[in-house]
Amino acid sequence: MTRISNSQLYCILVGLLTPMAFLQIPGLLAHLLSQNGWIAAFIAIVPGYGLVLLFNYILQHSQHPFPYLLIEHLGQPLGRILGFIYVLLFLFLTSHSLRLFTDFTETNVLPGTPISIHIGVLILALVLGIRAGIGNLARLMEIIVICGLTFVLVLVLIVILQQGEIERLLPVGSLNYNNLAVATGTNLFIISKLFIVLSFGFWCGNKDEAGIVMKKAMITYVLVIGMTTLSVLMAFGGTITSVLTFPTFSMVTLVNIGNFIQNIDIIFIGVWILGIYGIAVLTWFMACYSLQIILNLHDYRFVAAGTALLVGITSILISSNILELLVLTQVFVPVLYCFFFIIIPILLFLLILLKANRSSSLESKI
Amino acid sequence: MRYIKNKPESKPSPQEVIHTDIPASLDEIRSQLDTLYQFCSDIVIREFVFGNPETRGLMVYFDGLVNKDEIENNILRPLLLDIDMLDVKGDLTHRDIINDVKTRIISPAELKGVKTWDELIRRIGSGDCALLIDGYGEGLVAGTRSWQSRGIESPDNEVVIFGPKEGFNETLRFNTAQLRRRIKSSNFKIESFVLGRITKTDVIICYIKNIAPDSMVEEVKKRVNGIDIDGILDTNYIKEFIIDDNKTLFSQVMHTERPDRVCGQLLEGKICILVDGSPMALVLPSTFTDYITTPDDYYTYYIPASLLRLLRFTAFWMSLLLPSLYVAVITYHHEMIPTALLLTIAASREGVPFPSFVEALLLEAMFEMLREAGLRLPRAVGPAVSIVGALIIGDAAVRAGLVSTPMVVVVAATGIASFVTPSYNASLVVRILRFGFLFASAVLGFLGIMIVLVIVLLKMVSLSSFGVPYLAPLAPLNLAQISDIMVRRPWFVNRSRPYLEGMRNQQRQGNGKDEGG
Amino acid sequence: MLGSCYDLHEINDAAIAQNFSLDLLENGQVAFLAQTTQPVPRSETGETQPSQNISVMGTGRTAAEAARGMFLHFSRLFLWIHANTLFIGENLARQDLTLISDFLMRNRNLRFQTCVYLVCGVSIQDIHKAMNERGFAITSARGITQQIETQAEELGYYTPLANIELLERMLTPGIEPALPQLTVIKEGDKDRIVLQGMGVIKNNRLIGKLNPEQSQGYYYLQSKKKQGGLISIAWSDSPNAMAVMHCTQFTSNTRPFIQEGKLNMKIDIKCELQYLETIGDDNIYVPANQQRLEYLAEEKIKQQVRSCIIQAQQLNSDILGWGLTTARYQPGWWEDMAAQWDQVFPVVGSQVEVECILCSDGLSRESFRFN
Repeated sequence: MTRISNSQLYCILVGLLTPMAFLQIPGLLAHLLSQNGWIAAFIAIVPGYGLVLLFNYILQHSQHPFPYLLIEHLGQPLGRILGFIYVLLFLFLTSHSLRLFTDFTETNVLPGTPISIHIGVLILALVLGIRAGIGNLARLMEIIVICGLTFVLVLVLIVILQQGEIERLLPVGSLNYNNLAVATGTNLFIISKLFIVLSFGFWCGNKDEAGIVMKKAMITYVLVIGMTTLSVLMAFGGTITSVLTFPTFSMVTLVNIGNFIQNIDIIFIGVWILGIYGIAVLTWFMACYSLQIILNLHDYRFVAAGTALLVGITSILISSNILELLVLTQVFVPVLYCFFFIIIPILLFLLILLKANRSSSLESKI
Repeated sequence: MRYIKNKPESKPSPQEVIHTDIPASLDEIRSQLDTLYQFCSDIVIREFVFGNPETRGLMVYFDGLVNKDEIENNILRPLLLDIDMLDVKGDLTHRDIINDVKTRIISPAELKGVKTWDELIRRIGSGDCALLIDGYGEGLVAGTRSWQSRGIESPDNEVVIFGPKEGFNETLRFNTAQLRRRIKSSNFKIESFVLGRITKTDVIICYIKNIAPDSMVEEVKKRVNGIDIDGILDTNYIKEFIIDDNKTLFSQVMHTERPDRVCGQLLEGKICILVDGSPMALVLPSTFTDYITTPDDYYTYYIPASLLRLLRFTAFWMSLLLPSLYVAVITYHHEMIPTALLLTIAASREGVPFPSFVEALLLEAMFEMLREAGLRLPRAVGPAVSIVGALIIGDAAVRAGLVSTPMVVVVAATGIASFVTPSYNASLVVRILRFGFLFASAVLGFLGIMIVLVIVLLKMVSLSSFGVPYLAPLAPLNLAQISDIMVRRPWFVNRSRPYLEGMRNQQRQGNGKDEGG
Repeated sequence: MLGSCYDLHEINDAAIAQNFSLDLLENGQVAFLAQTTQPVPRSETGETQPSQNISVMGTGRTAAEAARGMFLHFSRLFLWIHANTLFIGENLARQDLTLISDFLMRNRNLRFQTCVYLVCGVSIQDIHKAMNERGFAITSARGITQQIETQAEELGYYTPLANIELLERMLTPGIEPALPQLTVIKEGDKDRIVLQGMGVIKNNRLIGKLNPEQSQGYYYLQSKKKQGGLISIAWSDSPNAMAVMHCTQFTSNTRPFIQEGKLNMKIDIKCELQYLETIGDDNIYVPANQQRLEYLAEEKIKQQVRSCIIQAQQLNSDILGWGLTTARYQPGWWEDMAAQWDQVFPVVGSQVEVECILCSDGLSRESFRFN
């Protein structure tokens, strides 16, 4: 497998975590915690660190990348079956992110264009991406993440300087703890996508450093979401933010530079499409690569074209409208994340720990 | 059986002769020369007799490729007239005549013995003259090359304001001399190859040992040696054989006519290929950023040079995207244009019969035609045609209401921006891609542009030039080097060379190894 | 290929909206009136032709229905996104602003930054008629946006309100919107659009107005742009003595405090002033006169602010956002009292502190005297 550098791994992880969350999470946090939504973003750093440790432990105590890692720890039939379920999960997540993006663009930019056209065009670009191979995708992700983070930074700064009123964050505290827990959990589900490090960690220059890279990616995610939530709240206040469907997008509409650069929604969507491309191509890659391992195929690249139809049809049939899709996004998808990216890794961790204890006690007996 | 008769012993064909050794008998040599150069009116074969006892000799060369004075003064005169004045005393009996001729009688600076027709033919084809002596199966080839060639001129395609103005010309030796004059180190290596089954073209590969990675040098030699073609007339022939990916628009090897630029690249560990008969040098590996930079950047003070480089980057993006962005904005994303400007654009489009996309496409196509016409027409007429085309057709089209004024401005601005790109190859790619972006913008607006951009980026990151990623140092990211891309890093900060896999000496200033020589 | 471009709209097939106005008709229908500027191509000599404004009206049971209704008699697609003013008719404002608020919030083609005005005394059709009479720059909707921004800087009378602020104030407990009002006055045979007072909203209905003095007080308390304001005072015993000053910049802070179980507001305003004009014989450069001028300016601003507070409390509309301020700085108190805010607000005490500093005098060292 092609080697990737630590910075490429960082970009891959940031590219997977951030773009979709950038649009959805600030609104969700404001909905749950009003003007205190930003606190939940920063609090997520604590359980997020726990997840980093969890994934790093599994990574360091495994010999093979995911999904072969499942076979390594769970044995032949169970590991292979679970691996296949993960293939389906990754394909579903690819379809879901594609559909979310296309519905968003259809609602806000090109309402007349059928989603099948959006999806078709994106799938073409995605298939080309997977066929280019992981080494080239990693390079592409570097460009995407640099552009994306720069755009986010500039956007947040402009909004805070032009529209920000710090009073809108008051009163700080007086949190509803149930909502805080839900908000932190929401962030944690997103951070759980670091799961893919179980594959990518094996291909980076030094597996031992994957933990540090994960930490950096997690902190970047927290900073991006925290700062975006802050700027949205400072621009709109808690009440309006919690009402808006995509407050990050609405925030972009406020930008006005010199009464000339204005209404830059489409620029935002243009940069955001890069991020969505990153998410979709990485999850799809994971599906293809997992399928290669599970079915002992020659090359994952060939699987891309084969699964394209499946991804395309799923993303069209996944829901009949954006309302259903949002429910799916806020209820069903977090459950999937929770089960596949948090619970199963915890079980794996316990299994590895148990095995390690057993072998060390055997060694001591000998 | 009358149909079966012994075939008469036929003369060998030129192809058979060429692979044989030079015979010892001068008659046989003459006969084989006649076979080889039948119907070649420019060949000069001069037989003569010299020494005591009389020895037969033969001189062969191509008219127009040699310096006749040198042949007369340094070869023929010593053999025919001065031989008596030497202590050889004319009596050559029992002596190794050819050795005496080589070492004691004739006096060209460059002299080499050859034993095969193949090499002799190649040498005389390159402008050397060959001396063949009866009884010896060996020819003496003297370096007498001299032909009319273009002088050293300033390259038209790579104009610089400051810095050297010299360019390569079509004579390989002049070109290597220009390089050697700039890099005097003994580590500067120039390796020769002969390519082209018929043209027998001299090709050289030059690099600086200890700076250029050995593995890369070996790879280049391997790829060049692997070329089997009847003729090499320009460096592009070689380029298409040796690049990593030949199914792409993007040039992975840099062309340049400037010796100073080649030297700059050699000092960064790159390798140069020169071909006899072509003023274009190939520099490899080359990355995308090489096409945005110009030697002028390094001959100008770093602050203006950096600003100019930023300007060039802006112009590059403008030349690539401006028409498509304009079409996207005025057909899909009207909200982005400030209202007063939008009113102006709307007013100018009132009555224009074409959709914006068609309008842009027509104007772009027309502009490209004018540009090509300007290049191909004689110099005296070209600029006039461009100006007449641009001004009169443009003005008439606007007045007739066929196109809108802002579109003319956009297309003209794009044209000007594309001239800012220093490399013709890069500018060509941009011109082609521009149409792709234009189509995408007409179908999906800005989204279409971004999707095509992703595909183009994907192709670019997939490319490599002799193992060096095409978008380096942006992808893969190299923070140390990227500062010399966006701006021109001052020389006092530029302490190390851009990293190439296998480079042994990356240090440019201080603490570096002695490059030797 | 262009046939498959579902969302492609050529600019010359669209109408660039400058303004849209909403009102309630007598039959209960919503009227939607939009102004667009007809682009006029330049002449061959390059001369600019005056552009033509036209207004198109549609009616319907809701704002969205009325907006779409326009296309029964208008062919071009409106680019709403360029409309930077929204006029709300008095009928609608008195009836219920929530009739249009969802339309304003949900519609992706309407911008949050659009300036909102209340039309008082005349109908929205009258305003449009007056706007369409003159050229693009002066009295069109775009001109009115410039007008309110310029008067804010030069006079400091009326505070602009953006669409998003209107929605925020309608949605957020503890704050109510106040909108600048427009009306039309006759000048000979011409109609002129004039800014006149600010409409006060309470529970999504127009319930009263602020006069220019109260509006100036409101400006000091609520303006986002902390500059602008004209202060004219008679400053000496001399009958004609006048000093006109311009507020170059100011700060204002409102903080709640509880005193003897009662909520009070402490309002601090700090102004930097600049002479625009002085008339009279006294020398303004005498320190005592300077202090007197500053004192008089402070009193003037206090009076304007108090007048605004009294009017707001009389109308029982928290246009000053005191409830929200309390929620931010006294969250515990607010939690207990939020439900009774309507009863509490009219009796909230206030302390207004103003500090003025004369900073600049222009080009002349003393008042002009005829010798």
